[in-house]
Amino acid sequence: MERDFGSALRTALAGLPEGAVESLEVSGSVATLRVNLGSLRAVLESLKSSPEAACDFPANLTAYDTGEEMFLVYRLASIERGWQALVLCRVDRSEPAAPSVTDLWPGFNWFEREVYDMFGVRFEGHPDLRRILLPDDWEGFPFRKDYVSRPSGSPLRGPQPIDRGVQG
Amino acid sequence: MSLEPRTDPNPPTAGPETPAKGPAIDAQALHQEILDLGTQGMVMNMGPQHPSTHGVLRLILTLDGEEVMACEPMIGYLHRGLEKMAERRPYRHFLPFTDRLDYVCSLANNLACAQAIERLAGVEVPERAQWLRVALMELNRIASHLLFLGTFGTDLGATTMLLYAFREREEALALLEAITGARLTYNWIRVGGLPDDMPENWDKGVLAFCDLLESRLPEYDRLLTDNPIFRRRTEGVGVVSPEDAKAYGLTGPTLRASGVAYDIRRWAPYEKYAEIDFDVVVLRDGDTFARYLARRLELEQSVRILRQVFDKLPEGPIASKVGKVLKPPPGIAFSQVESPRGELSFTMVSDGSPNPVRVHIRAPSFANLTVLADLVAGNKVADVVAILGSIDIVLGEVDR
Repeated sequence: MERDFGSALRTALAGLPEGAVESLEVSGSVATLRVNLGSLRAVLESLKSSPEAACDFPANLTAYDTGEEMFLVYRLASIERGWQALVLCRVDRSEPAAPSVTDLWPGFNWFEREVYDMFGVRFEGHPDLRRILLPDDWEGFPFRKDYVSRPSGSPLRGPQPIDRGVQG
Repeated sequence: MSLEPRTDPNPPTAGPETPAKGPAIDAQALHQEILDLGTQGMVMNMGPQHPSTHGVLRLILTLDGEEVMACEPMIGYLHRGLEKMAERRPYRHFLPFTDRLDYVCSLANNLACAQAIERLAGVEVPERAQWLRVALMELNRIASHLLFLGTFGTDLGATTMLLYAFREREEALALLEAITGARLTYNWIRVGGLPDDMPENWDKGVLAFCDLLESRLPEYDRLLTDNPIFRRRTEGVGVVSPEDAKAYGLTGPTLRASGVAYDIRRWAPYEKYAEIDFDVVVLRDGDTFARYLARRLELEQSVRILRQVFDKLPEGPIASKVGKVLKPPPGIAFSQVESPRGELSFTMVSDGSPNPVRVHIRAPSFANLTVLADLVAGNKVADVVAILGSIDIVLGEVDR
């Protein structure tokens, strides 16, 4: 499995420009790819359309922010072959943007809206990029590490601190 | 699996031929003509308080008479920021919160969360705990599918089904209560195993329940599966092609009803599913009836799995030793669990500190709901209820 998947991925990504894939690790049936933002869409497109890799199932899309760097995490599975690719892509934290893939997978429509809602990543080409879980008038993007939670609590007791930090 | 062809005692037939009167009307052209005149659809809110939206889902329907022209699902009414809460506490402290995601099958959430932590921190789970986890999963799956049968029947006006389904679900909940102490929010899976072993004779109770459920399945078939009214409301309604089902990222019975064999229990086996003999229920039609039938047939497979668990259950510890403060090495890990609604996956990112950097929950209901808008367009209002019911969403995990 590991060897097959590795070679299938290399065949699928052969046509891409130098440096599109920064690193590629295969462990069992899961491959982890670190991809350059400029080639993100091309990589996802090749993974989907390549008959060797055949990763055409949109399993998951999310993002994470460490405070210094922000990453998009795509997970594409090949139901027939039994393997999946985890595609990590760094986006610019100050002005996060990425190409939308809703035209390739309509299933990623809401996932992209959720990442926009929580991280403020603008997906260029998304047909309807609006907040999805939070109210439309929400300010800020709560999953960015620089987001300051507004203190909540009873108006009679005054604001209560929320972030208590680590408690063992 | 091979499925016997459906035998409908009263197959739906076309009505008696009505003799044509006058010139034939091209309905589509007429419809277009009416739209060209500037006719506007009526906008109707279905929900967020509506019994057949199964929670606080709001559908904005644009109607042309009885026909749905467009549908926009609005979600987020139950958003509690669970993923954000996870970032603010040590890994294990998040486990009780996961009960509140898919509250119909909370053990699957517990397991998916615990598995992600176990993979991130490299924690092994003892054999006995793995087998018991399988038993808990399947018992909870039965309870969840029974709730689906009951509420889906109610959605379509077959209200009797609810009473029958709840009669058996009560037994399943009693068994789960005997082991976990709770009826809905179990919180019974820990990082590295289970908090306690099963009570004495619990296995006998489960096996007796399996026999009971199996004897009651023909009753469900008489009430729903072979019911001509139920069949006419569901057959051919809201058909999803295999290609669409994959492109929309559908999972669980909703996907398998469209002919795609993707069941995490077989595709990426976790716990002891690799050692268990069961069939993945795959149907071809992809309509509302197939989505119902997939869950109905999965009940039989769950019974099969439960029986094997207690044949093979070994003696031994039920939890491995895990340090009090869990500091997984930096990295990213994800778990995959086949919940009754589909692929439930937790993605966790660690930076080596006691709190996670990020916890993302891939909720199957969230992904399955994306197909709804395209599926109901062109159908009748009453079919919206049928199609939505057959996707079997739980808003707790859609909104998180």
